[in-house]
Amino acid sequence: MGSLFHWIVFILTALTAIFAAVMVITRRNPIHSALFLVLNFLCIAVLYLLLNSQFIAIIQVMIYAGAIMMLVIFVIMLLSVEEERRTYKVRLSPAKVIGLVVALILFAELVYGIALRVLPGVKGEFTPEKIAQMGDIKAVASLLFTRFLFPFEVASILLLVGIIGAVILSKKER
Amino acid sequence: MELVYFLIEAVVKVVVVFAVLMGTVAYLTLVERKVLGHIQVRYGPNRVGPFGLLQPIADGIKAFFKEEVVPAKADKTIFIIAPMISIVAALCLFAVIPFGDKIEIFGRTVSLTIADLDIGLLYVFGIASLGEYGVVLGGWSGYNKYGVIGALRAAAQMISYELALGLSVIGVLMISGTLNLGEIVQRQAGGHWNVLYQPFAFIFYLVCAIAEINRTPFDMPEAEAELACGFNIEYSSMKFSLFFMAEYAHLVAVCAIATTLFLGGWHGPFLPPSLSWIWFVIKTGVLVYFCIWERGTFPRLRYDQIMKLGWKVLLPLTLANIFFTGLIMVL
Amino acid sequence: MWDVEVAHKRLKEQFPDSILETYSFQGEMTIKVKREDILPICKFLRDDPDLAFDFLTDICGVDYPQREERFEVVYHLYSMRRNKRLRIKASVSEGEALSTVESIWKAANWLEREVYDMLGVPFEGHSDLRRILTWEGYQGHPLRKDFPLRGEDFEHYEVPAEPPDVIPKFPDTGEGQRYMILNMGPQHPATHGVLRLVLKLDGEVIVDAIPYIGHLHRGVEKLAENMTYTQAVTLTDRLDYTAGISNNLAYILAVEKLLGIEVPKRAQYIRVMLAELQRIAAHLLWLATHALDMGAMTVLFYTFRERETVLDILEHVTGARLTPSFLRIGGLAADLPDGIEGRIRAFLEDFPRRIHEYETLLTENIIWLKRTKDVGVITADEAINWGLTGPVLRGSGVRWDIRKVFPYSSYEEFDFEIPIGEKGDVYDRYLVRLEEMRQSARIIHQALDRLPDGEVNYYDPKVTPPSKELVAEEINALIRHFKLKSEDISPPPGEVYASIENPKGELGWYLVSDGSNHPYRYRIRPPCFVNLAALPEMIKGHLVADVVAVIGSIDIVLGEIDR
Repeated sequence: MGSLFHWIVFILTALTAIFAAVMVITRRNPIHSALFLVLNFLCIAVLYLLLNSQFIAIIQVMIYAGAIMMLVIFVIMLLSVEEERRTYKVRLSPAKVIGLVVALILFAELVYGIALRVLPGVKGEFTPEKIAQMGDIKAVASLLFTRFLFPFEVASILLLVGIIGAVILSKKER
Repeated sequence: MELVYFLIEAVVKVVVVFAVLMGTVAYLTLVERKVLGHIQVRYGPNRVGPFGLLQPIADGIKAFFKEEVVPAKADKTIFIIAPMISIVAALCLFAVIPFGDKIEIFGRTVSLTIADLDIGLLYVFGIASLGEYGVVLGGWSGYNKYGVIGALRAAAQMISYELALGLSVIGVLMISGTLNLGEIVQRQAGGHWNVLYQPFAFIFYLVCAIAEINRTPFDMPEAEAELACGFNIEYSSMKFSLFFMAEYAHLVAVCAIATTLFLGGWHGPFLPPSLSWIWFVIKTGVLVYFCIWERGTFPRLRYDQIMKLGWKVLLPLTLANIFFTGLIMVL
Repeated sequence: MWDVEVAHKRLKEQFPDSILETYSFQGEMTIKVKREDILPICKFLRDDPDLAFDFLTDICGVDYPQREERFEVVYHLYSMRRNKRLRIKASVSEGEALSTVESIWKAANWLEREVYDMLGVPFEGHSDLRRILTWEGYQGHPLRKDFPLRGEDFEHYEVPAEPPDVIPKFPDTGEGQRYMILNMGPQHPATHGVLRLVLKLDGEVIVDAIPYIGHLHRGVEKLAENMTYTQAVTLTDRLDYTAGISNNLAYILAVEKLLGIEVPKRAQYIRVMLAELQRIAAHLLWLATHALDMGAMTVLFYTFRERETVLDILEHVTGARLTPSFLRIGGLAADLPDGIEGRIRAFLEDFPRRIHEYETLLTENIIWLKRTKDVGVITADEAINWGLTGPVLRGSGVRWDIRKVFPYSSYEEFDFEIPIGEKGDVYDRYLVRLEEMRQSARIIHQALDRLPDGEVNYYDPKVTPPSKELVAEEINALIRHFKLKSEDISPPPGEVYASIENPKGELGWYLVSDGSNHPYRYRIRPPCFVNLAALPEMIKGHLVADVVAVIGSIDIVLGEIDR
């Protein structure tokens, strides 16, 4: 029964995620786009859950769906109190053409990767059974604070630099 | 067969928690008004029923039959969804809270919590951060400048205080070594309440939690004096009530979580395990009373002062608390 | 002893051709000057160190349709240093303009606008000459004598198709949509009535603010010109409706000054007592709403408990709680009732403890301090220049109270202090008002202890009616009563200005009598109106939340601002 239930949930969430993703780029109102992005993130969190990664799932909800999108919405509201709508007209510009081409190439790569070739993938040491046994968070933590400690610290410094940069940029404006 | 029992148990628990919670929320409005009335040398509601006990029901009926007003220029979908987000998120918080010790019913051992998640505490924060969308979108969608200012304030305030709130409980996590709320309570058995080991964290948690649920003195998004109700300015009827209920449900939730994390959850003397939930109710009730009491005492802070308090005072303090907790644990 | 005569002499030396006329009435000097020279004369009066008329009390206009120069604009000046008042007048005819004195006293801004609005006298060089009490597009100028009093007397009146003043005009800074325009009021919980503020916001910081008033304009001054002197008393209650007796007192003192009479000591003491009780009631209401604006709602219920006691006492004495109209020209409507002394003493016994109770909630509360300290600061010089009075002026550190500088109604016989602040922020004004309540209680104590015996009405058959008992017995008393009640008093021709320390500030009446039984001009010098004019100055650069704090600390009552 478990697998059938998983399949139903997977199909439903995946379809919702795709639907939400399409809505993000087609809505005229930026707030609506942002909200569909939130929905998309939530779907992805559910997908993580299906992969037995509770921790990643909840972090996805907290950080992306909760905090980051809240900031995005905050900025959109700041910018357009009068509900600025995107223009109706579609005009062809070089940037759009290039973007379209890149998108098509990426999509083709995806199709090629998924449909035409079997991706073997690398089996790591943390199998779902092992994770279930030792606990999700412990698994993440033991890797993060031992083997990947250096990249982890580098990433945090990178973020700090980003924050300081943002502060300086916003101060200059005054 | 086991699956059927499991489902029945889950549904029964959800229904019971939901019903009790809604009743609590309804009567919490009365309690708040009564307690405030007592603080403010007046009676509070006392017309409907004995001691005003039917007042929440009267309020509910009134809210139900009030005219629904949706502003012409409002973003109607979001306008309607926003209060739902608020109330749903507030109710979902209770899924992981352990209300009492395991009890036996019909030969089955039932734990008094709806979902015993390993990541219980993170779940709470995740849901809480989603719940803020209700306030933010509610303020934005009404097409009202006061609402937008309220929404902006709400967004800024919640992002800021979520950080300090999260950091304030890390000390507890370090002591307990788990994110599972049930286990956190188990480790506080025998009077080893976390508040004894983490007194500052408890204070920080309370301050941040009150800010997070937008109560006085941090009720910036509402601030009836300057923003004329802020985010819910355009709401009427049941939609307004939903916001209102969400606010009280949130209040109960943060107090229940504080009880779980710091005050030993359902642990307490004199009562058999099957009645241990009474201790949980008492402790939560005391914290709720505290929240009402401080509302009757304090003026409202100013927006910039709240942000300063969050970023420049509470954040460093909670970080220091984590640091010293770690130091002591290592030593 | 420095006399205002010196000012006259100096002016004559300086501007020999400009002085047209000088006269005194009831000890008040009036100098009539040429219209063209009003600006240099005012400048001289302020800047001359010997004269130093640094305070503009009031500007108002009087209409004399029969004269060729039909409008007379009256400037009431006051010298803080010399403690003297001086009245300057200039006449203009229809369409002629006066030059503005805004550059000398900022207080002139709104006062000149009001003259323009009410009489149609334009002011040259005024920075913002718009209508103020009526709306832009209003037809006619109500205080002109030929403006009809009632609706049916209008020949033709067109209601504007568009609601007026909807879109505020801020000076265009060319920055597009960078700023948010926020409309605060007239329906807003914290604007204390129907004040409308249009704020220009950068985020939540106020860049500019325009107050719109007049939503409660009832034309009190116009109405009073068509009433007898006694009838007009009832109009005064409804100005600053939180302090009815104080308003009564100010008006009646002006009429009594016009008549040149002084009421018996007992009446004076009772007036003082009632006025101070009223001050306590008004300050309690202020504290309640001010604290509520900042989110401290418990204070409201505490202060209302005491205010209820005060209002009960006032009701016991006067028969009314909000609009007593208890004072009469020449005395009081009645003597104190039996048993009132005990009630007042019981209240005074209790009151200091109550003030302490409010203070425990606020004075040292860190949130309260954060909300009020360094908010809405106005320096002493600025405050004087803006013509601020009352606790707002004293909060800025100016020890100036009409009860001390121009004692009226025997205030000189009472022992009380004038509290002042240091910085002139919201917190200082709060402390000043709290202390004022204590001092008021002190004054009431002294008045009760030393209450003289005797009559409460001045005896003059032409001013005060005979007693009811006498009317019931004697026919000539009945006739006199009937005549007085139907014709009312007719003071001698002249003009006076009398003012008192109202809970909000200097409340004054400028009365012009033409010898008939109704005032020719009934000008109210409104404290809140003048104080409110400085609001944009005080809130610029602060946050939205500070607006309500500052409005609360100015303590405005729209009934008196809009009149």
